[in-house]
Amino acid sequence: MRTSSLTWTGESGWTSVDLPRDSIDLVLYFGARDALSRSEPIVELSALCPTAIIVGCSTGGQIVGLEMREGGIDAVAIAFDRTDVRLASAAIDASDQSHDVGKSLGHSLASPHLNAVLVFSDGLKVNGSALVDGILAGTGPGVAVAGGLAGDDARFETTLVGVGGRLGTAVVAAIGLYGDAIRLGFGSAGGWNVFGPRRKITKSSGNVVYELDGEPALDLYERYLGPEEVEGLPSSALLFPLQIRNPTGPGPGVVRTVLAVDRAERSMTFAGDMPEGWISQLMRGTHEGLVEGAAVAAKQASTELGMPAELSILVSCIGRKLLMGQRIGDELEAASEELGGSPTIGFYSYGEISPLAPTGFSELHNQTMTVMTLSETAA
Amino acid sequence: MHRLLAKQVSKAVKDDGNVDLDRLLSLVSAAYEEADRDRRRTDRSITLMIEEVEALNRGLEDEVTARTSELQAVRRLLEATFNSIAQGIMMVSKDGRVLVWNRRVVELLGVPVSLLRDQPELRIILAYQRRQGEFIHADKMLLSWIEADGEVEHSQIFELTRPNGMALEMRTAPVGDGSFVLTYTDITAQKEREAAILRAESDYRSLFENAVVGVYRSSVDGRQLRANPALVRLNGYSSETEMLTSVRDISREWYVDPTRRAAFSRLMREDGRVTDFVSQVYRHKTREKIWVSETAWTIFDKDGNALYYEGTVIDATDRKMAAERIEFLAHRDPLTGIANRELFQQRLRQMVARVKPGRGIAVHCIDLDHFKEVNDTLGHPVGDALLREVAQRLQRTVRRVDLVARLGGDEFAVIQGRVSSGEDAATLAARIRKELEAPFDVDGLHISVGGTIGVAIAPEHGTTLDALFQNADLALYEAKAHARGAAVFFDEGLGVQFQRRRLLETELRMAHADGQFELFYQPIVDMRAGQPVAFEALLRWHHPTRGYVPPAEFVPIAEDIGLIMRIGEWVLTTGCHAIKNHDQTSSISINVSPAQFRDNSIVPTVIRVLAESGLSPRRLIIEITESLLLKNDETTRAQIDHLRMLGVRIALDDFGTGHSALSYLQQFKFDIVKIDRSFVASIATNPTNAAIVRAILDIGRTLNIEVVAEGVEDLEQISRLTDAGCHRFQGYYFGRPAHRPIWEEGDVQFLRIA
Repeated sequence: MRTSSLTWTGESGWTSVDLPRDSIDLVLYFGARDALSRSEPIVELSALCPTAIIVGCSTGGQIVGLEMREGGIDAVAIAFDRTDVRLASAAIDASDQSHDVGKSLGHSLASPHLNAVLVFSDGLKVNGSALVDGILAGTGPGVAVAGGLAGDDARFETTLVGVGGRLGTAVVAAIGLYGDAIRLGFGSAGGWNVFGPRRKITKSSGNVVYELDGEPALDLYERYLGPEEVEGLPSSALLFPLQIRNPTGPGPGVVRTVLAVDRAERSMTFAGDMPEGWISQLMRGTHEGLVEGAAVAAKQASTELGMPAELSILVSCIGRKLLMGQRIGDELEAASEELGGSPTIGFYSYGEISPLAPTGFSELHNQTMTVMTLSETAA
Repeated sequence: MHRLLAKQVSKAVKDDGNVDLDRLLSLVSAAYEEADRDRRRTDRSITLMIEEVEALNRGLEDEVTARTSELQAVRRLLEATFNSIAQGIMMVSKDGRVLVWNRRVVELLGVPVSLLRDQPELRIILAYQRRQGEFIHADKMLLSWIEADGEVEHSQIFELTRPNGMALEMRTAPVGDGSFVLTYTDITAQKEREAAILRAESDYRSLFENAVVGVYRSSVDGRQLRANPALVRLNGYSSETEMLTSVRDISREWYVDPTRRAAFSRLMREDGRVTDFVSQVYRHKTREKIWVSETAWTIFDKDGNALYYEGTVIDATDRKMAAERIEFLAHRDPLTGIANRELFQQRLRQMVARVKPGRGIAVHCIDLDHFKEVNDTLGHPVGDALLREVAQRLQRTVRRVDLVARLGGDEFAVIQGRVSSGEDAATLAARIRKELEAPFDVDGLHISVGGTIGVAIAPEHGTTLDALFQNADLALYEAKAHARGAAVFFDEGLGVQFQRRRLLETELRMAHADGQFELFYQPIVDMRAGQPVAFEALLRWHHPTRGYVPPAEFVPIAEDIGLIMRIGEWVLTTGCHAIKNHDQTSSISINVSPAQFRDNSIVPTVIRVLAESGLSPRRLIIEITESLLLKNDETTRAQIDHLRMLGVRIALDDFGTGHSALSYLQQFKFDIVKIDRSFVASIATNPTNAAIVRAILDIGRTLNIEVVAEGVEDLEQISRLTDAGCHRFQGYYFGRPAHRPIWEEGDVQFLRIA
């Protein structure tokens, strides 16, 4: 397996690709929405890699090596030696179709040789956890699902997902990786800490929460954000993610991030299911905690892979970037240290998808740094 | 250098390698702002969190207070329950100390409260009980437990009868940590119940063995399970075993009519029991036919499934024979042996129901003419013999399909079947008349009576029993009124007059029941005393629509329909009570119908009424009319004498009218004679009548009979009657009949002047 990174800027266009054009199997690109909104970069990219499957999405900032980049487009071209790649994509009109869409994608890709699925989805019109459940229902068990939900800086307006030479909203793209040669490692960690009282989700529907402990959910957030940051909703709500857990089930629970708010209804839409009766608790992060989280995720992925990574794909939450500001680079450096200098690409997202370390079962995560390491075994 | 600053510096380095100071400062400033914002956010979060946690704490404190108070209430409730339950409970620690006990323990164990205080050792309590003799009736098991100082390793149940007779159940229950619970229950009542059940069972067994009725238990499918000696004997066996082994399915081999078994089973299924189920059965061993009455019931298990049948069997042969005889007699006229009214109606109902066009029936109602005279003149035995003869002749006259019945007295009826036309009925009626016209030979006497017949035909004259019979009766009524000795067929026109009379009869019966009769009281004044000496009770019917109906209109009907007895009794009772309540001296004068004498009821009635009212017999005057005396029979005379013997006075009413034989005054003993109002009214104008009045007064004086003048209306009459020696008067002049026996004092004054 060989990779080549390339970058597009408004001034210079695409940098060159260090691989024979016909050998490229897959190109992943991540870019600012404004840059992607111009049609020519992706048309050019298709021309550069005419035989490759090309998939990408808008972001809240790209990750390239130790750097977080805003603006422009960053991509990686991958030439596999012994791994097959297939693409499936679908449009999604409303978030309540997420499970069905996921299932049909999973069906399209299903095969006894299917090893993993990379998913890049619209970030605002999808219920991420339903989508992942659907894909797993379609593929059958034993398949790792990883990827993320597209971002648009932290504007929460429109996100784009590209398949081939075209880009659009409300699109889900899934790439199947087939065969025994491809080896994968996954890591996922948040580094956020719960604080304050536990609150019960007393009224919700799918991924929309109306009330916590009988109080409108939005009231709680507005109180915690204070007048200074209320205007920044929904993105400012990312500073206080919510941990939820089933009061009667096992496990530490999952973290949910806010996708949208409805000021009239006083409701909040989260990136995944918010079942009624579950217990929620506010979370907040510290610089050190988040940096440590990123390191843990990278270490998990690296350890699980068990061999030097030939490519690392990092998907981190936009909320982390909002909190850390200029010091966001610290988490990338911490992750990089664990990954041993492999080529690294990724983006800041509205939702991260990765198998959960203890169970190996893929889920939607929020507010985390997720790391996927790839390598191909020799013949 | 701080890593961030180093980064910022690297970002601020221009292409030429120099640092862009403005760019660096803006990055540093932004970083400070980010840090400030983060600090404010952190501060805010901490403050809010503290507030929330405090609020939560307060909520928890309130919750704890509320829960504590709830727990206390529950504890009090539990304590109250613990101390009020019927069982005694002790909890004993593993080192043998009584930790907890309730009040009932004190009563059930007979130990003093002081002994239970301060967690005493159980063996101390047991020792105390032993000293008190509580264990003198204890069994071995309990004693060995006591010997072991009440050690409890597993659950045990003991029973103990205390010296005071109480039966106590004691249970031990280990708790698990070496401690245990002792519960004491007073089971005296339960023991008594058990004993009572044993006694009842023994009683029942004795009843079963010694009962004179047969008692059995059988399976639902008819197999005999038990039979008592009486039933064994009834079936002709000598032992229960013999019977149970000889008879497999008693019901199948038993009933003479095999359908009785199905009927019995159906009743058992539907009602769960049968009562007095009478059937003819075979005496098992001898196959002799007998009648039995069965009563049986089902025994169910607790889920309602039939377990078996139990029942009694009584030999009902004698009863059945008697019942058949009674049944026969109930439909026969005892005098003549022919059908009675009951059977007549029963048969008529059946035959009416089967009437078809061209196949009708006729009802002939027959009344003997002059029968009453035969009875009166020749005596009842001759009358009865005549009736038997009549019955025989009628029987001879009709066919087998027809029915002859005696409805009562001299009333007979024939139901003629298969009547295809009126002519058929007319032919039979003519034959009957002919038969009855021929003289009868009774005890050597030749008696001619003849009969009057009313005929109604179904379906022409009615299609119901009532209509047909009523119409035949109506025709008879018409015949008796206008064509004695003839046969009259029913005609629609007959109904109207008859119905008017029937209406009056119905109304009269209702009048009595509804209290529409009233008594009015008219004074009878003695001029010498200047005040009333008696009041005559006058009966009035206050008809709800017609107002007051005079006695002349309804009394004859009341006599006809037999209501006069009850009315007469009411008049007597009401009058006697009224006068008793009115004063101490005056008398009540009551009119009595000849019918009351005829049925011999007057004397006992008078005795009873006098006893009830407490009225002196001297104050009661019975008024009779001459018509009563016409027959001059012994029984009437005897009754009059009897009444006089009691002290009751007899008045002869309306004297001077009708036959008015002066000889009556000699033949019968009267106390009072009342001169009829017609003589009084004409005393001033008719010298003959005046002479008769004087004659009556003379006889009265001679025979010591009081004379009362009736209908006195003016002073002229009073003056003439007084001159003739009459002192007692009754009439409008002295007072109209009033609702109560009253007398206006003013009238006395006036009379004195007169």
